[in-house]
Amino acid sequence: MIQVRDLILRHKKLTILDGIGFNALPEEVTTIFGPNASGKTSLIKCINGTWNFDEGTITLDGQRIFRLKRRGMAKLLATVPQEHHPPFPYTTLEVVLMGRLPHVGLFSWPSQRDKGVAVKALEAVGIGHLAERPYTQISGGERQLTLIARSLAQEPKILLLDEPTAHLDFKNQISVLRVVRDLAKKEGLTVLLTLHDPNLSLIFSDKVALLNKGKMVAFGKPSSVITRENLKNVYDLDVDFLSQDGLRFIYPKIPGVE
Amino acid sequence: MAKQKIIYIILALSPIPVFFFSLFLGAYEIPPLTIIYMLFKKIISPFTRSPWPETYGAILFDIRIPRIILAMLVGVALSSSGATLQAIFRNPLVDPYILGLSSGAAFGCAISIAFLPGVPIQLCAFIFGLLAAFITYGIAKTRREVPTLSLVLAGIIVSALFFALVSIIKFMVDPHKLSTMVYWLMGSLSLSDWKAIYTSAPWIFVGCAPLFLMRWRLNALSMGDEEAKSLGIDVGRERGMFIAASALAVASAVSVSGIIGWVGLMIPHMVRMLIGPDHKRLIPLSMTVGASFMLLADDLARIVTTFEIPVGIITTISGAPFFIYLLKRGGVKVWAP
Repeated sequence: MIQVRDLILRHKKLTILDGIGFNALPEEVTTIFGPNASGKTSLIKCINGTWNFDEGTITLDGQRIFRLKRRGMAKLLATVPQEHHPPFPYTTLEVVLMGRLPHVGLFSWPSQRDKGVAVKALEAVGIGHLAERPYTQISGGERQLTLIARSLAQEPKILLLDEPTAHLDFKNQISVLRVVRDLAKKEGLTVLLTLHDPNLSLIFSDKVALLNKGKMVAFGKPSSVITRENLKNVYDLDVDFLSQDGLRFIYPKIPGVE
Repeated sequence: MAKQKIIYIILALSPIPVFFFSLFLGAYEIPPLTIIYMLFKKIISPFTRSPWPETYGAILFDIRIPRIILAMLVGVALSSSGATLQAIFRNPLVDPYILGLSSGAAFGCAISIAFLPGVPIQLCAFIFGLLAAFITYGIAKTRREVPTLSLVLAGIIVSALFFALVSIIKFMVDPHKLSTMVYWLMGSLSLSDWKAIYTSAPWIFVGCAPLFLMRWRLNALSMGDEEAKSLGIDVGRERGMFIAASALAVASAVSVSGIIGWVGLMIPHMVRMLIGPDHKRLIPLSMTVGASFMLLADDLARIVTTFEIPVGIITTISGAPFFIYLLKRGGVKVWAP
């Protein structure tokens, strides 16, 4: 569980986050949604302790984050970075094993048990067969799944994902978000992620936090946050909704396009 | 996987045959059987009077063996710090001299030869080598952290500065001293004795021990600061520790051998191509392969011609073609995604 209260982050004279407050609960996917430069990534970086914020409080499972040491934090909360090319071609399993770092002693390396955890994590995201493949030679979607597996290997209670769908094709976007959603439901993880796409937010989230210019515009159920008025407000865009099979989809109303 | 294991064992044990092979080589010929006999005798009863000619004993125990040990120590120090710094800087083209250490050591050597004949070259090289690394670190350090790009740039600045100073000294110094200086700058193990081992081995050991013990963490550090942090590493402190330990090992190696290029860049590469990038295997194997390679290169330096070639030239001449071969064979994919 993540609790954010009255969070303020300033950089030089700019206020990047201005009075953010919300709860993200276990077994739920909470999505931070908003336009570029709305403060989504900054919020993630405050919660995982990369940046120090100026005012407010963040608590993770009841513990204030400034009381947590790096190692303790890494056992409680895992951040899935955006997929990237590392300088060395580690195998997928070696990358996942890095997730055992907070559990392994300073002068030690992963044991057989750690290896077991890593293999299980790979299987949990459905890419057990890639264990021995070089991480640099699998697809972008598979790399993103590997990084999720690495986060699982940390055995955290909270999972943060910063734009897990960036750089991924349509199919991989769906498969990554499905895995994430399953993890929240099955493992009881608190999942907090950032997304660009309103439709994906609608489909995969339990709660949505709508951010604009560092302020929280709305928070709650996807259908009550992603509304015509809110999107007009934030994106200055006219949109409409389609309903099909009990799902709602959003589309932009563009003059001249029928 | 079985094949990997065999390669691992061969690389790990490689220094042993190379050690014995090197014992038999030298300008002064001692029959191989005699050498084996002498070794046994020395091990079984080290303090009894030796039945062999005195020159034999002096050559084997006071010249060859210390030189062999020193070559291996230098190889271990250069290769393992090379591998470590490549991980820290996230760049497989980094060598152990990236922090300006070699130019600092060169400057130390130059002033020792030119102005301070009473102070040993080794001591001066060691102190100025570390000083250069320290200055580099100091320039790169901002209020809170030490960005790697700043470190690289600071290293270039410091190197340029010290090499310019070396050039001034070279220009001023008399020709006789100049040749000593040039010889040292090219890197050579011809001055090895037990004293060189006693003075450098402890520092090399102190520097290499943390690299060896904490090597697995280099995997995470090589993924970048933010990821390493999120995996629970105190990045600033651990990176500083790795850099300091590498600098110590390299400075003490350089102080006894001069500037031997290529080893620290090439050996980690070679090992990575053979056994993969996991630092749990890479660091120990860089150590053993570095020891073997350095020793073989020094063997060549000793025996190819009647006079001694600086071993730094051998490492470059023998290293470059091998490197080119690996590259052409498709090694590129091993470090460039």
